Amino acid sequence: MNFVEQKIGNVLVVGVNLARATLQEAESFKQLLFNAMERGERKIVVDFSQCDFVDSTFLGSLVVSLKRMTQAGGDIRLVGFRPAVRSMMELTRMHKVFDCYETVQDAVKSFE
Amino acid sequence: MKGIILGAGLGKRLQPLSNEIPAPMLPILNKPLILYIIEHLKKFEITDIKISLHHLPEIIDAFIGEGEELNVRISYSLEKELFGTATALKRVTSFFNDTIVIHYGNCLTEIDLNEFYYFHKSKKSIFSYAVIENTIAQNTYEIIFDQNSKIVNYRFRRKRSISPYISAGVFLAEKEILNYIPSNSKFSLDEELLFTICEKKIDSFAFVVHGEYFKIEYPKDLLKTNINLLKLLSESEGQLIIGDKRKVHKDFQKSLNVPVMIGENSEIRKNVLIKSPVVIGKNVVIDEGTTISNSLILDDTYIGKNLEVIDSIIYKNLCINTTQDFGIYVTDSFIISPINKSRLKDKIKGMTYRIFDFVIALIGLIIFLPLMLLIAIAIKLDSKGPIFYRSKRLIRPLLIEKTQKWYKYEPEKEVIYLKFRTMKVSQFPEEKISELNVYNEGPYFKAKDDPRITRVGKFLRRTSLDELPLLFNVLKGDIGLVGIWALPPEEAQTLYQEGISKDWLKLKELAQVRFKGKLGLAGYWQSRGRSNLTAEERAIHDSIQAISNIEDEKLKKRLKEYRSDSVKGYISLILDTIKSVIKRKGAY
Repeated sequence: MNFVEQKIGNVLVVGVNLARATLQEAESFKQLLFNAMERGERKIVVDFSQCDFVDSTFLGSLVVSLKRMTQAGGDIRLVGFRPAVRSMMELTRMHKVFDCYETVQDAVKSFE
Repeated sequence: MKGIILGAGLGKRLQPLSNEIPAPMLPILNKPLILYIIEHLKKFEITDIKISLHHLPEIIDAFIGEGEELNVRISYSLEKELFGTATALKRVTSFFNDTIVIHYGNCLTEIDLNEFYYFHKSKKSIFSYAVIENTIAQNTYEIIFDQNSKIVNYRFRRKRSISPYISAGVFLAEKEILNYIPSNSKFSLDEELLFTICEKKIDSFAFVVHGEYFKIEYPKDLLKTNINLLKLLSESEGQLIIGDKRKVHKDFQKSLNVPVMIGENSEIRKNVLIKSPVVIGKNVVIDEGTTISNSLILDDTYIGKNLEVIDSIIYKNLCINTTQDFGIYVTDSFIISPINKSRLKDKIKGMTYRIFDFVIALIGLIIFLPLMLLIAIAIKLDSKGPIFYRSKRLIRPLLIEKTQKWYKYEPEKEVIYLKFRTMKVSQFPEEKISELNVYNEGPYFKAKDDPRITRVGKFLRRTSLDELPLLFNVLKGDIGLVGIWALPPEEAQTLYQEGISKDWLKLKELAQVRFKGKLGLAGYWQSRGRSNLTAEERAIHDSIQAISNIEDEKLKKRLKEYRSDSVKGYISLILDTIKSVIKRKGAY
């Protein structure tokens, strides 16, 4: 399973179970988030703690989902950056686009 | 003899300094440049002086007025529209009665105007150019004259010099020359007038000037002139500190071994260290523990504690770097220094990629040469106009970034992309075209069914063959094989100022990252569908591309996976882009 869904309270936590999250999985990841939104999920946490590398296409689908989500009144928050991903997020200023947290618990709590 | 000082220019190359200070008012050792010029003219009994103005005239007028204090008679000619230095003369025809000396408002010379005058008269010259020997200046016209000093030809010097003489910005003119100058079109003394003189064989002579010469064209010239003159002054006066010492900390002088000029009412606090010559303006405060070298601090500037200022011009809270290649680097600890220290290892790596790019581009050109010839013929047969289209792109727009204490400033940088022409030469109304944009919003523009496109053009764009001539850009070294696609000027400006969209998700900071990257043909965006992507996706691709060749040692290690200069990453991006082009993804 590339993506693991888990419900904590009313927050949906999506774990990205890939060492390299790239364009091969980007489309199915976007579909997963879109489907969740259609089901009525408005609070989503994406956990990157298994990822050493997230490519630009994968990030693209994340941003497109964020855009749709905020228009629907919800939010997507991110957790668990490894060093390379963190550096990339900071250098591209992506960490200012998303609310980012250290752990899943912190992110879930932030929705309360 | 009367004099004219040409002070109307916008000083574009001196931005952002010239946004507030007109070029003739820029300080040389804490005194406006134009005062040196007026004093020089006065030395040769030229006291009836006209100054042409356009940009910020009130500042010059307020300072010099009618010249009572300087014992000269100053009048002004206000140019509503800028046409050029020669056109400016035409505007003041009534001022001419005898020989007139014309002096640029942005240079300092030691020219002996009496000698120049005798030279001019003895040659029966109508218009004389003072010339200097300068083999370094680029993008300027060389003046070529015969044994009798008569000007016979000119040559545009792009890089290499053939004749060493260029205009010094001082001229002697007879009224007759005005007959050759139009009154309502662009005409410059160093360009159009020079061409006319050579073409019509007008009696015009070149007078060689020796001695110190300074021209303030770029911020770095302003810094260099100030520092050089400070060194000379310090030597002749035998003192290290020149100026107002009242508010200088008592220990300052002990550690000082280079000259410093301090303007009126300026304060230097404890433990300030000057490592190489510095000129400080009026009402400046330099706070504790700061180190300054080879810099110019203009009036009313505060410099904080424990800073390091190197090779900079600082004005109020504006910080300008003077090395040409890179902007000022401001870190959290407020260390200001240029970052262009590339290590040998990186240089070799850079060279290897450059050679690789060159060879691949050369092979590509050889393979595609027959096809390119066919395309050229097709373009010529299909519609009127040239074969190639020179598309101006910005590597980066004028960047002004505000950090906690400073503005970081980097001037605009452009590149010309060479493409096959795919559009008709005639003009279409702008609004109609913008309706066709495939991006619903944001700064990017790409029209799907653009009416300007020719039949051959349509085919070339569908197949991306219009971009084949870009291989010449790669040969030349303007761009690499892998990197970011440079944007047209308007797109780059909008992206920088407004981000990618009008709604909440502007991604402004993210999108700006692209301007730090290298340019290239192949890249993430180019290989992943180009114009089929949304503006957000494009911005993300470009930004990640930009950080993939970042030069910071620590980050390099951490971003290993993201680097496009690993051999694997490099080749795969090129192959992916070729695949995408063949599949015709997002090409219109």
